[in-house]
Amino acid sequence: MLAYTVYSEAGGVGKTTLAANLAKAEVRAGRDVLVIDLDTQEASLSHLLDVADRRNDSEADSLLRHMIDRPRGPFEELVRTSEGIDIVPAHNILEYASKHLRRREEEAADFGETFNPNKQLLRVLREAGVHETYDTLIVDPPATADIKLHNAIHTTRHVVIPFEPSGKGYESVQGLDQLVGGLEANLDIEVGVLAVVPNRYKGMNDQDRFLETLQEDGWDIPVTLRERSSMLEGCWAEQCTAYRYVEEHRDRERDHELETLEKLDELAEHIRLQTEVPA
Amino acid sequence: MKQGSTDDPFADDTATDTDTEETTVADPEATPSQDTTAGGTAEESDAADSDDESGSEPGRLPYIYARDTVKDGRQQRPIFLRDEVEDGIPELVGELEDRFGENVYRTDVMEAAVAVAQEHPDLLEAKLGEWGYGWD
Repeated sequence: MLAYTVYSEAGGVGKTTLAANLAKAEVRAGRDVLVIDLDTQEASLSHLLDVADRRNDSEADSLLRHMIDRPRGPFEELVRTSEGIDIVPAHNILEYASKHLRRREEEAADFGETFNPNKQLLRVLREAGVHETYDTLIVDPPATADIKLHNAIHTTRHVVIPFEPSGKGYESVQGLDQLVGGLEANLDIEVGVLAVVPNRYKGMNDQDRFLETLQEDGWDIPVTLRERSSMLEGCWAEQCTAYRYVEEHRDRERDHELETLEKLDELAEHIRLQTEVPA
Repeated sequence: MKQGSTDDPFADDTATDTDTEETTVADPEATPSQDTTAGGTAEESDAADSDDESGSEPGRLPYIYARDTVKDGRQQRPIFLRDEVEDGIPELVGELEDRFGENVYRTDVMEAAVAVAQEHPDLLEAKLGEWGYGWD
Protein backbone atom coordinates (compact mmCIF):
# COMPACT_ATOMS: atom_id res chain seq x y z
CA MET A 1 0.00 0.00 0.00
CA LEU A 2 1.21 3.45 -0.94
CA ALA A 3 0.90 5.74 2.10
CA TYR A 4 1.73 9.38 2.59
CA THR A 5 0.90 12.47 4.60
CA VAL A 6 0.35 15.75 2.80
CA TYR A 7 1.95 18.26 5.10
CA SER A 8 3.20 21.80 5.18
CA GLU A 9 4.18 23.92 8.14
CA ALA A 10 2.80 27.02 6.48
CA GLY A 11 -0.96 27.31 6.30
CA GLY A 12 -2.95 28.25 3.22
CA VAL A 13 -0.73 26.51 0.69
CA GLY A 14 -3.48 24.25 -0.59
CA LYS A 15 -2.61 21.25 1.58
CA THR A 16 -6.17 19.99 1.82
CA THR A 17 -7.10 20.60 -1.82
CA LEU A 18 -3.91 18.84 -2.90
CA ALA A 19 -4.69 15.85 -0.65
CA ALA A 20 -8.26 15.60 -1.98
CA ASN A 21 -7.21 15.93 -5.62
CA LEU A 22 -4.36 13.43 -5.31
CA ALA A 23 -6.88 11.02 -3.78
CA LYS A 24 -9.16 11.56 -6.77
CA ALA A 25 -6.24 11.09 -9.17
CA GLU A 26 -5.56 7.74 -7.49
CA VAL A 27 -9.20 6.71 -7.90
CA ARG A 28 -9.00 7.72 -11.57
CA ALA A 29 -5.98 5.44 -11.89
CA GLY A 30 -8.19 2.56 -10.74
CA ARG A 31 -6.89 2.32 -7.18
CA ASP A 32 -8.76 1.85 -3.89
CA VAL A 33 -8.08 4.95 -1.83
CA LEU A 34 -8.59 5.78 1.84
CA VAL A 35 -8.14 9.33 3.13
CA ILE A 36 -7.83 10.04 6.86
CA ASP A 37 -8.82 13.59 7.79
CA LEU A 38 -7.16 14.66 11.03
CA ASP A 39 -7.68 18.40 10.51
CA THR A 40 -10.46 19.90 12.62
CA GLN A 41 -10.54 23.25 10.81
CA GLU A 42 -13.91 24.12 9.33
CA ALA A 43 -12.38 24.24 5.85
CA SER A 44 -11.32 20.61 6.12
CA LEU A 45 -11.07 17.82 3.59
CA SER A 46 -14.23 16.34 5.12
CA HIS A 47 -16.03 19.59 4.33
CA LEU A 48 -14.54 19.80 0.83
CA LEU A 49 -15.79 16.31 0.01
CA ASP A 50 -19.07 16.88 1.85
CA VAL A 51 -18.78 14.19 4.50
CA ALA A 52 -18.49 16.48 7.54
CA ASP A 53 -22.11 16.32 8.69
CA ARG A 54 -21.41 14.24 11.81
CA ARG A 55 -18.36 16.13 13.05
CA ASN A 56 -20.32 17.70 15.93
CA ASP A 57 -22.32 14.64 16.87
CA SER A 58 -21.09 13.55 20.30
CA GLU A 59 -23.00 10.27 19.92
CA ALA A 60 -21.10 9.39 16.73
CA ASP A 61 -18.20 6.98 16.78
CA SER A 62 -14.90 8.59 15.79
CA LEU A 63 -11.37 7.67 14.84
CA LEU A 64 -10.06 9.10 18.11
CA ARG A 65 -12.31 6.74 20.07
CA HIS A 66 -10.63 3.85 18.22
CA MET A 67 -7.20 5.34 18.94
CA ILE A 68 -7.85 5.33 22.69
CA ASP A 69 -9.40 1.84 22.70
CA ARG A 70 -12.96 3.09 23.16
CA PRO A 71 -14.57 2.37 19.80
CA ARG A 72 -18.35 2.42 19.52
CA GLY A 73 -18.42 0.25 16.43
CA PRO A 74 -16.27 -1.36 13.75
CA PHE A 75 -13.70 0.74 11.88
CA GLU A 76 -15.52 0.21 8.57
CA GLU A 77 -18.47 2.22 9.87
CA LEU A 78 -16.27 5.30 10.25
CA VAL A 79 -15.68 5.31 6.51
CA ARG A 80 -17.71 7.55 4.19
CA THR A 81 -17.43 7.67 0.41
CA SER A 82 -17.38 10.66 -1.94
CA GLU A 83 -16.44 10.62 -5.63
CA GLY A 84 -15.18 7.07 -5.20
CA ILE A 85 -12.81 8.12 -2.40
CA ASP A 86 -13.21 6.43 0.99
CA ILE A 87 -12.77 8.97 3.78
CA VAL A 88 -12.57 8.80 7.55
CA PRO A 89 -13.92 12.29 8.33
CA ALA A 90 -12.55 14.55 11.03
CA HIS A 91 -14.64 14.72 14.20
CA ASN A 92 -14.45 17.76 16.50
CA ILE A 93 -13.23 15.55 19.37
CA LEU A 94 -9.88 15.41 17.50
CA GLU A 95 -9.24 18.89 18.94
CA TYR A 96 -8.63 17.11 22.22
CA ALA A 97 -6.63 14.22 20.76
CA SER A 98 -3.57 15.08 22.79
CA LYS A 99 -5.44 15.19 26.08
CA HIS A 100 -7.26 11.91 25.48
CA LEU A 101 -4.21 10.05 24.19
CA ARG A 102 -2.07 11.23 27.12
CA ARG A 103 -4.78 10.28 29.56
CA ARG A 104 -4.99 6.82 28.02
CA GLU A 105 -1.21 6.54 28.26
CA GLU A 106 -1.34 7.34 31.99
CA GLU A 107 -4.15 4.91 32.54
CA ALA A 108 -2.19 2.18 30.73
CA ALA A 109 0.87 2.92 32.87
CA ASP A 110 -1.23 2.52 36.04
CA PHE A 111 -2.10 -0.99 34.88
CA GLY A 112 1.49 -1.82 33.99
CA GLU A 113 0.90 -1.61 30.25
CA THR A 114 2.59 0.44 27.59
CA PHE A 115 0.64 2.76 25.29
CA ASN A 116 2.52 4.95 22.87
CA PRO A 117 0.24 7.91 22.02
CA ASN A 118 2.14 8.53 18.76
CA LYS A 119 1.52 5.05 17.34
CA GLN A 120 -2.21 4.65 17.77
CA LEU A 121 -3.30 5.60 14.26
CA LEU A 122 -0.98 2.95 12.84
CA ARG A 123 -2.33 0.41 15.33
CA VAL A 124 -5.96 1.17 14.47
CA LEU A 125 -5.34 1.01 10.71
CA ARG A 126 -3.33 -2.19 10.94
CA GLU A 127 -5.94 -3.86 13.11
CA ALA A 128 -8.61 -2.82 10.62
CA GLY A 129 -6.57 -4.41 7.80
CA VAL A 130 -6.47 -1.14 5.87
CA HIS A 131 -3.27 -2.20 4.11
CA GLU A 132 -5.09 -5.25 2.74
CA THR A 133 -8.17 -3.31 1.62
CA TYR A 134 -6.64 -0.23 0.02
CA ASP A 135 -3.95 0.55 -2.54
CA THR A 136 -3.39 4.10 -1.34
CA LEU A 137 -3.63 5.80 2.07
CA ILE A 138 -3.46 9.59 2.27
CA VAL A 139 -3.47 11.43 5.59
CA ASP A 140 -4.39 15.12 5.88
CA PRO A 141 -3.10 16.33 9.25
CA PRO A 142 -3.64 19.76 10.83
CA ALA A 143 -1.12 22.46 9.90
CA THR A 144 0.13 22.55 13.49
CA ALA A 145 2.79 20.11 14.60
CA ASP A 146 0.94 18.15 17.26
CA ILE A 147 0.24 14.57 18.29
CA LYS A 148 -2.03 14.09 15.26
CA LEU A 149 0.86 14.94 12.95
CA HIS A 150 3.10 12.51 14.88
CA ASN A 151 0.51 9.79 14.36
CA ALA A 152 0.14 10.67 10.68
CA ILE A 153 3.86 10.54 9.97
CA HIS A 154 4.43 7.46 12.08
CA THR A 155 1.72 5.74 10.07
CA THR A 156 2.74 6.75 6.55
CA ARG A 157 6.53 7.35 6.90
CA HIS A 158 6.27 9.40 3.71
CA VAL A 159 5.32 13.01 3.07
CA VAL A 160 4.25 15.10 0.10
CA ILE A 161 4.99 18.77 0.74
CA PRO A 162 2.94 21.52 -0.88
CA PHE A 163 4.65 24.87 -0.76
CA GLU A 164 4.18 28.36 -2.04
CA PRO A 165 7.23 29.47 -4.04
CA SER A 166 8.26 32.49 -2.02
CA GLY A 167 10.85 33.30 0.62
CA LYS A 168 8.37 32.34 3.29
CA GLY A 169 7.52 29.13 1.46
CA TYR A 170 11.17 28.23 1.08
CA GLU A 171 11.73 28.73 4.78
CA SER A 172 8.71 26.58 5.52
CA VAL A 173 10.26 23.65 3.63
CA GLN A 174 13.50 24.07 5.54
CA GLY A 175 11.55 24.40 8.78
CA LEU A 176 9.74 21.18 7.91
CA ASP A 177 13.06 19.43 7.37
CA GLN A 178 14.01 20.33 10.94
CA LEU A 179 10.62 19.41 12.35
CA VAL A 180 10.60 16.03 10.63
CA GLY A 181 14.21 15.47 11.69
CA GLY A 182 13.07 15.89 15.29
CA LEU A 183 10.16 13.50 14.74
CA GLU A 184 12.43 10.92 13.18
CA ALA A 185 14.68 10.95 16.23
CA ASN A 186 11.69 10.95 18.57
CA LEU A 187 9.82 8.11 16.93
CA ASP A 188 12.93 6.25 15.75
CA ILE A 189 11.78 6.16 12.14
CA GLU A 190 12.99 7.39 8.79
CA VAL A 191 10.75 9.69 6.76
CA GLY A 192 10.87 9.85 2.98
CA VAL A 193 9.83 12.85 0.87
CA LEU A 194 7.92 11.67 -2.19
CA ALA A 195 7.50 15.13 -3.73
CA VAL A 196 7.74 18.82 -3.04
CA VAL A 197 4.89 20.52 -4.87
CA PRO A 198 5.03 24.23 -5.67
CA ASN A 199 1.49 25.57 -5.65
CA ARG A 200 0.15 28.91 -6.90
CA TYR A 201 3.10 29.37 -9.18
CA LYS A 202 2.78 32.57 -11.19
CA GLY A 203 5.92 32.29 -13.29
CA MET A 204 7.78 35.10 -11.56
CA ASN A 205 11.57 35.19 -11.68
CA ASP A 206 12.06 35.09 -7.91
CA GLN A 207 9.73 32.08 -7.73
CA ASP A 208 11.94 30.26 -10.22
CA ARG A 209 14.90 31.09 -8.05
CA PHE A 210 13.30 29.40 -5.01
CA LEU A 211 12.43 26.31 -7.06
CA GLU A 212 16.02 26.07 -8.24
CA THR A 213 17.31 26.41 -4.69
CA LEU A 214 15.01 23.63 -3.50
CA GLN A 215 16.16 21.35 -6.30
CA GLU A 216 19.76 22.13 -5.43
CA ASP A 217 18.89 21.10 -1.86
CA GLY A 218 18.04 17.70 -3.32
CA TRP A 219 14.23 17.73 -3.29
CA ASP A 220 12.22 16.21 -6.10
CA ILE A 221 9.83 18.71 -7.74
CA PRO A 222 7.98 16.65 -10.35
CA VAL A 223 5.33 19.24 -11.29
CA THR A 224 4.57 22.90 -10.66
CA LEU A 225 0.94 23.85 -10.08
CA ARG A 226 0.01 27.29 -11.32
CA GLU A 227 -2.30 29.66 -9.54
CA ARG A 228 -5.85 28.46 -10.23
CA SER A 229 -7.79 30.48 -7.71
CA SER A 230 -11.13 30.50 -9.49
CA MET A 231 -11.11 26.71 -9.96
CA LEU A 232 -10.12 26.12 -6.34
CA GLU A 233 -12.70 28.53 -5.02
CA GLY A 234 -15.21 26.70 -7.16
CA CYS A 235 -14.19 23.37 -5.59
CA TRP A 236 -14.87 24.74 -2.11
CA ALA A 237 -18.15 26.33 -3.17
CA GLU A 238 -19.42 23.16 -4.82
CA GLN A 239 -17.73 20.79 -2.33
CA CYS A 240 -15.97 18.57 -4.82
CA THR A 241 -12.58 17.79 -6.30
CA ALA A 242 -11.14 19.87 -9.13
CA TYR A 243 -11.84 16.99 -11.52
CA ARG A 244 -15.55 17.01 -10.78
CA TYR A 245 -15.67 20.79 -10.70
CA VAL A 246 -14.25 21.11 -14.21
CA GLU A 247 -16.41 18.29 -15.51
CA GLU A 248 -19.73 19.27 -13.96
CA HIS A 249 -19.66 22.89 -12.93
CA ARG A 250 -17.81 24.61 -15.76
CA ASP A 251 -19.96 25.41 -18.78
CA ARG A 252 -16.95 25.18 -21.04
CA GLU A 253 -13.55 23.56 -20.75
CA ARG A 254 -10.69 25.89 -20.07
CA ASP A 255 -7.35 24.61 -21.38
CA HIS A 256 -5.33 25.92 -18.46
CA GLU A 257 -7.59 24.12 -16.00
CA LEU A 258 -7.39 20.85 -17.91
CA GLU A 259 -3.64 21.28 -17.87
CA THR A 260 -3.71 21.51 -14.06
CA LEU A 261 -5.77 18.31 -13.86
CA GLU A 262 -3.26 16.55 -16.11
CA LYS A 263 -0.47 17.72 -13.83
CA LEU A 264 -2.28 16.32 -10.81
CA ASP A 265 -2.57 12.94 -12.57
CA GLU A 266 1.09 13.16 -13.46
CA LEU A 267 2.03 14.01 -9.87
CA ALA A 268 0.01 11.08 -8.49
CA GLU A 269 1.72 8.74 -10.93
CA HIS A 270 5.14 10.12 -10.10
CA ILE A 271 4.47 9.52 -6.40
CA ARG A 272 3.40 5.92 -7.10
CA LEU A 273 6.58 5.28 -9.07
CA GLN A 274 8.74 6.69 -6.26
CA THR A 275 7.64 3.98 -3.87
CA GLU A 276 7.91 1.16 -6.41
CA VAL A 277 11.61 1.76 -6.96
CA PRO A 278 13.71 0.76 -3.96
CA ALA A 279 15.49 3.78 -2.48
CA MET B 1 13.96 13.54 6.17
CA LYS B 2 15.32 12.33 2.88
CA GLN B 3 14.20 12.35 -0.72
CA GLY B 4 12.47 9.17 -1.82
CA SER B 5 11.02 6.01 -0.38
CA THR B 6 11.58 4.48 3.05
CA ASP B 7 10.08 1.74 5.29
CA ASP B 8 6.54 0.42 4.96
CA PRO B 9 5.13 0.18 8.49
CA PHE B 10 2.21 -1.90 7.15
CA ALA B 11 4.50 -4.60 5.77
CA ASP B 12 3.52 -8.06 6.99
CA ASP B 13 6.89 -8.75 8.52
CA THR B 14 6.59 -7.35 12.02
CA ALA B 15 10.34 -6.81 12.09
CA THR B 16 9.93 -3.69 9.96
CA ASP B 17 7.88 -2.06 12.69
CA THR B 18 10.15 -2.89 15.55
CA ASP B 19 10.43 0.50 17.13
CA THR B 20 11.92 0.31 20.54
CA GLU B 21 9.44 0.77 23.33
CA GLU B 22 9.57 4.21 24.83
CA THR B 23 9.12 2.85 28.33
CA THR B 24 11.96 2.77 30.78
CA VAL B 25 13.61 -0.52 30.02
CA ALA B 26 17.15 -1.21 31.08
CA ASP B 27 19.75 -1.72 28.39
CA PRO B 28 19.46 -5.41 27.51
CA GLU B 29 23.24 -5.57 26.98
CA ALA B 30 23.71 -4.71 30.62
CA THR B 31 21.55 -7.58 31.84
CA PRO B 32 23.73 -10.32 33.34
CA SER B 33 22.25 -13.31 31.56
CA GLN B 34 24.30 -15.95 33.31
CA ASP B 35 23.49 -15.21 36.94
CA THR B 36 20.27 -17.23 36.91
CA THR B 37 22.32 -20.33 37.62
CA ALA B 38 23.66 -18.85 40.84
CA GLY B 39 20.70 -19.02 43.18
CA GLY B 40 17.85 -20.37 41.10
CA THR B 41 16.30 -23.79 41.20
CA ALA B 42 16.93 -26.21 38.38
CA GLU B 43 13.65 -25.38 36.66
CA GLU B 44 14.33 -21.69 36.55
CA SER B 45 17.79 -21.93 35.04
CA ASP B 46 16.45 -24.24 32.33
CA ALA B 47 13.85 -21.63 31.59
CA ALA B 48 16.41 -18.88 31.25
CA ASP B 49 18.47 -20.88 28.77
CA SER B 50 15.61 -21.53 26.40
CA ASP B 51 14.32 -17.97 26.48
CA ASP B 52 16.89 -16.57 24.10
CA GLU B 53 15.92 -18.30 20.92
CA SER B 54 13.61 -15.64 19.48
CA GLY B 55 16.17 -12.95 20.19
CA SER B 56 19.18 -14.58 18.58
CA GLU B 57 17.98 -14.33 14.97
CA PRO B 58 19.99 -11.63 13.24
CA GLY B 59 18.07 -8.51 12.21
CA ARG B 60 15.08 -9.28 14.42
CA LEU B 61 14.37 -7.58 17.69
CA PRO B 62 13.50 -9.74 20.68
CA TYR B 63 9.79 -10.06 21.29
CA ILE B 64 9.41 -7.41 24.03
CA TYR B 65 11.19 -4.81 21.90
CA ALA B 66 9.25 -5.60 18.75
CA ARG B 67 5.74 -5.15 20.08
CA ASP B 68 3.84 -1.90 20.51
CA THR B 69 2.02 -2.86 23.69
CA VAL B 70 2.19 -5.79 26.06
CA LYS B 71 -1.17 -7.10 24.82
CA ASP B 72 -0.20 -7.00 21.13
CA GLY B 73 -1.06 -10.29 19.46
CA ARG B 74 -2.20 -11.85 22.72
CA GLN B 75 -5.65 -13.17 23.54
CA GLN B 76 -6.99 -12.80 27.05
CA ARG B 77 -7.75 -16.24 28.50
CA PRO B 78 -9.39 -17.06 31.81
CA ILE B 79 -7.38 -19.58 33.76
CA PHE B 80 -8.30 -21.42 36.95
CA LEU B 81 -5.79 -21.16 39.76
CA ARG B 82 -5.79 -22.18 43.40
CA ASP B 83 -5.00 -19.36 45.84
CA GLU B 84 -1.62 -20.72 46.87
CA VAL B 85 -0.45 -20.77 43.25
CA GLU B 86 -1.89 -17.36 42.42
CA ASP B 87 -0.35 -15.85 45.58
CA GLY B 88 3.05 -17.02 44.40
CA ILE B 89 2.86 -15.05 41.12
CA PRO B 90 3.71 -11.55 42.44
CA GLU B 91 6.63 -13.06 44.29
CA LEU B 92 7.85 -14.79 41.12
CA VAL B 93 7.49 -11.56 39.09
CA GLY B 94 9.42 -9.68 41.80
CA GLU B 95 12.13 -12.34 41.78
CA LEU B 96 12.50 -12.03 37.99
CA GLU B 97 12.57 -8.23 38.20
CA ASP B 98 15.40 -8.49 40.73
CA ARG B 99 17.33 -10.77 38.41
CA PHE B 100 16.88 -8.64 35.30
CA GLY B 101 17.13 -5.36 37.17
CA GLU B 102 14.18 -4.02 35.16
CA ASN B 103 10.40 -3.99 35.05
CA VAL B 104 8.95 -7.37 34.05
CA TYR B 105 5.31 -7.71 33.02
CA ARG B 106 3.18 -10.28 34.79
CA THR B 107 1.61 -11.02 31.39
CA ASP B 108 5.03 -11.98 30.03
CA VAL B 109 5.78 -14.13 33.06
CA MET B 110 2.52 -16.01 32.70
CA GLU B 111 3.03 -16.75 29.03
CA ALA B 112 6.68 -17.64 29.59
CA ALA B 113 5.56 -20.12 32.27
CA VAL B 114 3.36 -21.90 29.71
CA ALA B 115 6.09 -21.75 27.06
CA VAL B 116 8.62 -23.28 29.46
CA ALA B 117 6.15 -26.01 30.35
CA GLN B 118 5.68 -26.79 26.67
CA GLU B 119 9.43 -27.12 26.24
CA HIS B 120 9.88 -29.23 29.40
CA PRO B 121 7.02 -31.71 29.76
CA ASP B 122 9.16 -33.67 32.23
CA LEU B 123 8.85 -30.81 34.74
CA LEU B 124 5.10 -30.86 34.28
CA GLU B 125 5.04 -34.60 34.69
CA ALA B 126 6.74 -34.28 38.06
CA LYS B 127 4.38 -31.56 39.26
CA LEU B 128 1.28 -33.37 38.04
CA GLY B 129 2.65 -36.50 39.72
CA GLU B 130 2.74 -34.58 43.00
CA TRP B 131 -0.87 -33.73 42.41
CA GLY B 132 -1.80 -37.36 42.05
CA TYR B 133 -1.55 -38.14 38.37
CA GLY B 134 -0.06 -41.51 37.54
CA TRP B 135 -1.19 -43.26 40.68
CA ASP B 136 -1.94 -46.85 39.87
